[in-house]
Amino acid sequence: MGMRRYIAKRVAHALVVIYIVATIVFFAVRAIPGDPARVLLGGDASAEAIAALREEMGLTEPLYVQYIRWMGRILQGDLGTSVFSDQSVLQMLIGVAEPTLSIAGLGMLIALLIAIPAGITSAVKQYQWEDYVATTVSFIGISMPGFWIGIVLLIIFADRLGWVPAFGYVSFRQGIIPWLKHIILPALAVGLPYGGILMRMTRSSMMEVLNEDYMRTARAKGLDGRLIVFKHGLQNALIPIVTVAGILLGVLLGGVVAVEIVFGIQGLGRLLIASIQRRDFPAIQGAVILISFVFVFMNLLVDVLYTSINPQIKYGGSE
Amino acid sequence: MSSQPRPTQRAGPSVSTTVTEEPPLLAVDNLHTTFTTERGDVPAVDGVSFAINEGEVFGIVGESGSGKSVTALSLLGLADGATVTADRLCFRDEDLLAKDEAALREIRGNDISMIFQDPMSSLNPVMTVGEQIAEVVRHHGDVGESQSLFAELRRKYVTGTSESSASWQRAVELLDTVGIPDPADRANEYPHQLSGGMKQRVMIAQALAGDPDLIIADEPTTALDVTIEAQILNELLDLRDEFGVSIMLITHDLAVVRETCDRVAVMYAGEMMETADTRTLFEDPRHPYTRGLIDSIPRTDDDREWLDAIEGNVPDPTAKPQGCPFRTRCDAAFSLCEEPLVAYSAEEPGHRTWCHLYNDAVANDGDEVQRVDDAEAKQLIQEHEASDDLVTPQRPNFGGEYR
Amino acid sequence: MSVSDLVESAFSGSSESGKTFGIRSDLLERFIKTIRRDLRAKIGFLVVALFGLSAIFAPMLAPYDPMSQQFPILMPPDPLSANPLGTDSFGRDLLSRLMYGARISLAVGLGAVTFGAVLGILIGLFAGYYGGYIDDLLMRAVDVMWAFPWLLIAIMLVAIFGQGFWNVMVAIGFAYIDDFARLARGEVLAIREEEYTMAAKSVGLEDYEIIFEEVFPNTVAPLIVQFTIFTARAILAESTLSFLGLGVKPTTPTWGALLGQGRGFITQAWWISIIPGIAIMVTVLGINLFGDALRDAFDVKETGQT
Repeated sequence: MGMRRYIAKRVAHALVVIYIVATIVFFAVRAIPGDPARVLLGGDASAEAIAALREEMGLTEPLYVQYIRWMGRILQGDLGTSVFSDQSVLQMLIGVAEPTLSIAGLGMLIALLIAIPAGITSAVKQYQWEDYVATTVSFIGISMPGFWIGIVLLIIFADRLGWVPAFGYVSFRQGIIPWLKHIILPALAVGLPYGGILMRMTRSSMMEVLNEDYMRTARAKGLDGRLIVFKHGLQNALIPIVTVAGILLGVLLGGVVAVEIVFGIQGLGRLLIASIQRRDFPAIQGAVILISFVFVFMNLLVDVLYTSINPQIKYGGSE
Repeated sequence: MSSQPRPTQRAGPSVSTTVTEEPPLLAVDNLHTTFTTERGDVPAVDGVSFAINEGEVFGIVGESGSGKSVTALSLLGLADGATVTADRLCFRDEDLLAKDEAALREIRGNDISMIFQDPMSSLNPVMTVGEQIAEVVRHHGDVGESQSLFAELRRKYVTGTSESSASWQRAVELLDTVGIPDPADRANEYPHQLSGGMKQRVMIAQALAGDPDLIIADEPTTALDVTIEAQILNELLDLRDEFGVSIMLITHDLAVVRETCDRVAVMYAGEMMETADTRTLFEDPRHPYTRGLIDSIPRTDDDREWLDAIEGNVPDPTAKPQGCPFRTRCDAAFSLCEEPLVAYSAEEPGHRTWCHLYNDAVANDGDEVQRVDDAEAKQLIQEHEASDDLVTPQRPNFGGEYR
Repeated sequence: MSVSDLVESAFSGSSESGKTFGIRSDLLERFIKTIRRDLRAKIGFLVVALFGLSAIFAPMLAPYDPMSQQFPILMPPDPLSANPLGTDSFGRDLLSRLMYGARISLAVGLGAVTFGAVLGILIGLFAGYYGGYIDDLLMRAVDVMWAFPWLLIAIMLVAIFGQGFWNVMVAIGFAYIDDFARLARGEVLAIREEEYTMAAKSVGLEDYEIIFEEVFPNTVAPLIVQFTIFTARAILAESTLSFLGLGVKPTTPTWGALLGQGRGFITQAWWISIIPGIAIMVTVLGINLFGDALRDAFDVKETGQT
C-alpha cells in the first residue's frame, strides 16, 4: 500500500467516524432528560407557552425528521443556534476553542519535551540513578489528577508567589507573554500526567529497541553508543510512541475540561458542562462534535506522521 | 549502552609456547564467558581454545546452546552482562581483553566484522541499506567525510546521505561485489523491500565495508532457504579468495563445514571436544561426540534432526557434570571421564581431542575402553594440564566450492 | 537472538507442567516469588490495604460523623487537635470525610473497571475467537468508542441517566470496554492458533467451552495487569467527575467532591483541596506500583493504554 492510498484510507475512515459520532451525539443529547423549552422558560411558564416554544424549536416533529434536517444543516456548516444565548453555536465554539486548544497544544508540547528525552535517558541508563529519578517522577505524575496538579500549581505560583495570574484567559493576539502567563499553569496541569504516561512508553519502547538484533549489528559495526541510540534506535522507538501519543490525546482533552474549571477559563469544557446543565441541545451537540473532531483529526495527523517515520508503510508492505 | 568491564584474568603457565612461525590472526586460549543470573553462574563458554590463520575459513560447530555464538560475541566485547576471561585473546598479537570500549570500537567493523543469523532482524528497518553500509565505510575512515554525531544525525534525519559522496558510492560498489543487481537503486531501498537472501548479501556487504581481516559469520544461512544457503556460502568463499579475508563460520551443520571450512572446532556445552583440519576430522574423527555428529549426517533432511542420533539432552549449564560434559550421553564413558578434560594430540598436526580415551595410559579400540592404568592416566592428565599448548598449524587452503 | 535469549534458551529444558487459572504453575510460582521480593509490590499492597481497610471500617474508625457541622469552620490541619486534618467551610471534620470518601471513591473505581472489564472481555473473546464479520462488527463499534475522549462519554452518560452511585460507575466503566475488548481480542488471536486450542477443537468441544475453558484462562495475566492499572485510572476519573459536579451526588463525600468543595477556598484554606488530592495520589500511586510489579512478574508488555 502506497503512502497516498494509506492516507486517503485514513481520511475516509476519519470522516466515517465523525459521521457516526455526530449521529450518536444527536440521539444521545435527545435522551438527556429534561425539556429544553421548559428549562428555557423557567418552572412557572404556562403549558401553552412551552408548547409554542417547542413548536418553534422543531421539537414536535418526529425524531427522524429532526435528524435529517439537522444533518442537512451540518453539511452546510450550520451547527444551529444556542437556545440559551440565541447565538450561533459555531460562533460560540469559535470563541471558546482558542483557550482550550492553546492549553491542549502547550500541554502536549510540554509533555513531549519532558517525556521523550527523559524516557530515552531512562532506557539507556537502565537501573542507574537517572532511571530511578525519571521513573519515580513519572509514576507520581500519572498518579495525580490533572486538575489537582492545577490547584497545587495555582496555590504555589499564582496565589503565594504571584508570578502568574490565577484565573482567566488572554488571547495571544493581546501579546504572547500575557497569553503564556495565563496558560502555562493549565498547560502544565494537563501536560504532566500525559508526559508521565508518554515517558513510561518511551522508556519501554526504547528498552525493547535496545535489545533488537539490529542494535547489536550497529555495535558490531563499531559505532559509538550515542550514535547507536540516536541514529539507529530513536526512530524505531518513536514508531509505537507516535501511535500512543494519538490515543492519549483523549486523556489530555479530558484533562483540559476539568482544568478550565480550576482556572476559571471560558473554554470548550466549561461551555459543555454549562450547556448540559441548561439543556442547551445545539450547544452540547456542537461542543461534543468539535471535541471529537479535534480528537479524530489529531489522530489522523498522527497517522500521517506515523507513515513518514515508518518506511514499511511509506514504501509498500513487506513481502 | 554501558559497556561491561571485562576483567582480565591471567593464570596458569605462560601462554606462548606456540609452535608456529607466524602468529595467527586470532588466538584464543582458555576463553571463559560466564553469565551471572538469578539461577547462578552460567558458564556459556568454558575453556575454549583455538586459533585462526590469515585467509582461513575456520568452522565452529555445535548444537544450539553449545556456546558457539557467545564465543563469537565474547571476542568483540559484545557479550552483554557476561564476565569474559582468557589466558590469551589476541588479534594480530593485540590483546583484545586489555582494550577498553573505545579501542574495541576501532576493532569492530574495521578489523573484525560480524554477520548475524537472521538478516530480517539484524538490519535496521528504518534505514536504507545503502546508508547502513555507507556508515561503516565512513567509520573505516578513509573517505574524508565527517562521522561526528552531529554529521551522522543530520544525514539520518535531515539531508540523507548524498549519493555522490564517496561513502555512498563505495556502498553501491560493495552491493555490486556481493552480487546484488541494480545496486544503485537497491541502495536506496529499505530492508523490508528485499528478499531474505538479498538481505543477507547486504549484511555481507556491510561486513566487508570496513575492509576487515576477519569476518565472523554466525549461522549466516540458518534463516534462509536451502537454495539461497549455497549461494550465500559461495559468496563468502569467493570473498575469501578475492580479498584474503579470514572467516570464522559458526554453524550447527557439519555438512556445511565439510564443504566450506579449512579447519574446524567441535563444541559441546561451552567446551571444546575436538579440533582438526576438516579433512582429518571427517576421515579420522576421534571424539565419540564428533563421530555421533558425523554418523548422523546422511540422515540430515532438516535443521536439527541429526541431534536425535545422540541420545539425551545437553546438560543444564548451571549444573554441568564434572569432567567431560558429554559423558552423560557418551557410549564410551569410563572411569576417567570425571577427571578434568585435557587435549590429546593426534598424529595429524593440529588434531586435538578433548577425550580421555586418548590418554596414553588407556587402551581402546576406538569405541570402547579395554584397559586403564588409573594412576598413570591421572598423572598424565596433570602433566597435560600444566602445559596446555596452543597449536596452530599452517595448512594450505582447500579452496572448495559449496554444492 | 540476543545473548540473554541464548542464555534463556539454554535454561528452557522440558518444563511442561500443570496449570492454575490457566497459568502454568511453574510460572505462577515464579510470579508469587517475584511479587514477594518486589519492593513496589510490597509498598503498593500496603498502601492499598491501608486505604481499603480504613474505607471498609470507616463507620468504626472515623472519629466523627462526616456530615455533622459541629466544629469551627476552616480550621487548618493540626495533628494534635480534635481535627488532625482540619475542617471544611461547614465546620465538618476532614479526616472523617476523607475516610468516608474513600468508600465511594474506591468502590466506584473498582466497580467501574469490573463493569468495563466484563463487557470488554466478553466482546473481545467473541470477536477474537469467531473472527470474520462478528469480529469486524464488534471491532468497528469499539473503534467508534475510541473517537470519544473518555470524559466525554462519562459526561454524556451522567447527563442522560443522572447522577448516582451506579450510574457514575457505569459511566466511567463504559469508556474502558474498548480497551479490554482490544486486549482480550489480541490475546485470543495469538492463542487461537496455538496447539491446545486446535486440540480442543479436534476432540469436539463446544465453542463456548473452548472460549471459557481453554482460551480465556490463557489471557488472564495481561488482563489482571490491565485491571489493576485501570482501577487506578478509574479512581482518578471518579475524582474528576465529582470535581465537575457530575459525580455520585453533590452532597456525598467522595475524594473528588471534597476537592471540588475546597476550590472556592483555595486562598483561605488550601488544605480542603490539597489533602483529598494527596489521598487520591497516594492510593493511585499504590495501585500503580502494585500493577507495575504485576506487569513485570507476568512479563506483560507495557502499552500506551496504561
